[in-house]
Amino acid sequence: MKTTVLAFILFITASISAQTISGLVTDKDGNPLPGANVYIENTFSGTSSDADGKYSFPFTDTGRFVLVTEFVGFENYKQAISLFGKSPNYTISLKEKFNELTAVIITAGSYGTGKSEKAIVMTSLEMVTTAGSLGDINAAMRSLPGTSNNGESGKLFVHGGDGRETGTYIDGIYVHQPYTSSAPNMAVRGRFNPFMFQGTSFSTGGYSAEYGQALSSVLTLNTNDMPDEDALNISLMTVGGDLAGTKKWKNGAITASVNYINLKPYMQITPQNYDWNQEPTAYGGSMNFRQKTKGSGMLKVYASMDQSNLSQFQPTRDGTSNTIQTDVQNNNQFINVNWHGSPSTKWHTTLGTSFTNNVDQFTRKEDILTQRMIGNHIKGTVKYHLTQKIKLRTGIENTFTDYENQYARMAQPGDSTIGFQENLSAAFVEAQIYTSSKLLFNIGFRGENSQYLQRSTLSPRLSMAYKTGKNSSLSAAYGWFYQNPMNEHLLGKDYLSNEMAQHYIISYTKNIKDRTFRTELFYKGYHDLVKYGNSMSAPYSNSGDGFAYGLDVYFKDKKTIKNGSYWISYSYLKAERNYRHYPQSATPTFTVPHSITLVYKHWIGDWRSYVGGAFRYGSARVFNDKNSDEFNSGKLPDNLSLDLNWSFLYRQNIILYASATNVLGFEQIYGYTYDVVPNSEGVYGRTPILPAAKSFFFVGCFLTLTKTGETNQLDKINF
Amino acid sequence: MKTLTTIIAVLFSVLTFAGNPAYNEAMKSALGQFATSKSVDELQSTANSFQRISNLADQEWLPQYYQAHCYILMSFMTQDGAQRDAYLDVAESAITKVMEMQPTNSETYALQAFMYTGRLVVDPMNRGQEFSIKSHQSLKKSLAINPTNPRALYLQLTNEIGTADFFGTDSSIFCERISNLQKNWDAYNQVDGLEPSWGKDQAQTLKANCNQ
Repeated sequence: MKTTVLAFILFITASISAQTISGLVTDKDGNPLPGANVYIENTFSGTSSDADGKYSFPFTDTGRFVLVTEFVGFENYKQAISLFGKSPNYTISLKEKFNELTAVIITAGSYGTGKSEKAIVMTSLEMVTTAGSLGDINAAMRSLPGTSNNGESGKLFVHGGDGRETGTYIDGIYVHQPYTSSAPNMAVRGRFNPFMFQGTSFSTGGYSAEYGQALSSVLTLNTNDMPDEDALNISLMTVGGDLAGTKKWKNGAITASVNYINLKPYMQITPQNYDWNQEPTAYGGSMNFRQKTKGSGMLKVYASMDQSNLSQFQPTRDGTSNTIQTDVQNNNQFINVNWHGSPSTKWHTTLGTSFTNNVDQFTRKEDILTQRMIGNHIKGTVKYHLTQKIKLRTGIENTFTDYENQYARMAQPGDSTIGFQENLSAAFVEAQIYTSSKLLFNIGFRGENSQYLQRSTLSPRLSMAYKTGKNSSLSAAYGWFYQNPMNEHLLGKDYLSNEMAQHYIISYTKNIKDRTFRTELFYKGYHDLVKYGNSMSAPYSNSGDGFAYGLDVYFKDKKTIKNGSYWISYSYLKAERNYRHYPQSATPTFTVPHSITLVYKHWIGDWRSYVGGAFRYGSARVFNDKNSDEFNSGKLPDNLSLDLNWSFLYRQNIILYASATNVLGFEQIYGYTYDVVPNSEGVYGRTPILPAAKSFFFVGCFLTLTKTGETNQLDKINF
Repeated sequence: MKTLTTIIAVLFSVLTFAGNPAYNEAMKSALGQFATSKSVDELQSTANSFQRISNLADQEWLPQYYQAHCYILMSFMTQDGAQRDAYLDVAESAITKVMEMQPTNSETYALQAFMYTGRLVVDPMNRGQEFSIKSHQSLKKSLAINPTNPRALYLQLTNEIGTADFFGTDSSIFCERISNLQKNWDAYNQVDGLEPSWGKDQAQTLKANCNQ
């Protein structure tokens, strides 16, 4: 029946002298393109190319027309044709469209995470489910190559740089105090919750001219846009609790949260390496505000207030086993305001500012050291799309730091205070140029002027990427990076100059579906590092220098094991410095020559559980043995750890989470503190620097109440 | 019979096409093609047909609606996650345009919910929370406009049964709603001409842990 109808229609159309337009659609190399849309402009007449790229469709009218061919990822093709009864044949060759989403990207030095980045390495959920990270962004980043584990610090040590050489930026705005405060030689944590951010980029070097004041690395955190719905989040943990409420309206939302942490109950029932007078406690609150503005703009405000306290007995270092009570109190207020918008499709602007007020007070028996810092960063940027392939970006900023150290002794009148104020103004320009979708250049310059040091610097930043195959690319980066000496060094020493590093990076990336391979080779030269002099006339100078080079390898596989994913990071690092108190060029104590991290995660559907493990290995670091004539000649044991975690989705809105670090109980020593004076035999006694406890166990329950949730409990709470 | 050979003067494109015989013919032909599309290639070809219609009839929401529907179905038939997202990107941009034309249409919100479910199943572990909320919210909007939109009711049931299966809770509580939907489909599905009427076959196959 169908065929007769078809035959009939064919007969009719043939009788009114239909022409058949046919041919082949190919790419520029002649490969057939199936599924292309071929039609006559301003008509409904057309067809799709078949599996062999062939097309054919009848057309009754005669005259002049335009034949259009469309295919996703290719430029539209239009051809004027004349139809006068004959059936023509056209072979159409489509040109690939330039598409930034599929074009090559610079991978040298850069690890993007989250949904806003193309080169996804880790999402925020992946960060918190990485065993051993315990919800700390920095700890999660330490499972990526180019980093090393320095358990006594907790900061991000990248490519032979020390923790202070990593700068943290939220929505492009500098964060003066990204870490919590802790006792000397006790690890700090990042201040921010990973779930605040939709994208995290972590750079191992060679980063954009937009960022300054970081010799080694930048961690750029992009906050979430609008929350999905009203919600109340409750977290109950073995170490405290946290309550957060979100209220949403048409074009905006606000989230307010309070938290309280107290490690006392936990630390009293588990063995600890240190004696505590008062176990760490912290409380705080934060507020997150979102408002959409005209066009696609958005205003974001984040404000937080935190206070933390701890009191620990530390060795007196006088050759006895006596201890001294050390109290640490931290007060921190932080505000970050950011607006971005696009006045037109070609322009994109951002404006932002941050304000930090941070006070640390260290009390050691009768001595009180108070460190106060007020910081402000203000910055505006403009991006202009000159053409589809060329983007220009420029920005200006000012970073203000008011830093003060106050020393006092109890029961003694007066104190000594020393401080400085710094205004660091900077401007940058950057051009991103695609010569084709295969070749990309990024050229930038950054100028900075330090008011306190009375110095100006100009840093070139260059990077490029070349697509070597369908799924592989080669990328290189070079740049100069300046950073002011650390605050403690700057006190009263405005004669010092900026420290400087030069980066050279080559990286190769291959991505096939859900497998990623990355390797990176780098060299870094350090110049003008602060060095302590030995005479009173020139106590400090910028005569220090150093270098670091190494190789990183990264492999991530989400495909081979069903419901499982794993990644392996390996980093080789060789570094030497002659700076600070070093008598000669030597390997710094924080250098880990070989680092290996193996992370595995598995989804067990029947148990509704996400289980994971992480194995970390760091080869022996050096330490300075005060009883040896040779500087930094001591060797610590290798550092090993096996961390496990388990997340259980009890209900859609209830998650139970358990985590344990160093479950095999490896001995971890991060260094030694030596006595100030030798004992009667002329030998300096020492105390090992250990983690707070051999292992850390954590159990938490996270509950989300929403109007749409199964348990409709939000209505009961007058929120 | 894949194509139609009717010329529409450019002049017509500024006018509304609804009721225009050539537009109706083209839509009927494309819907016929849709009904027999079983594979990704066939759906791609059908999506192209709707694309050709919407190029000309760019003030009509239905061609873009069906084009989006084709791409959503294509994503469900594809294995590779990146390709699935690429299909859903096309669907999402078409749905955005339809929403501008039809801001209070129950059908477009239902299709949006379907698209979000498509996003979810690409990576349930990591996307579960975000997209189950989004899908749920779109269905809520759809049903607020038309409480008996059978497609929204069908998608809501599949989402809820999926969740119940995942958490191992009893899905027999859905039996009554399933049988109601199946029984009342034709009564609920009061649509004109070219408007969306799909879903009856799928709804017939809806099963929970019911005693029959």
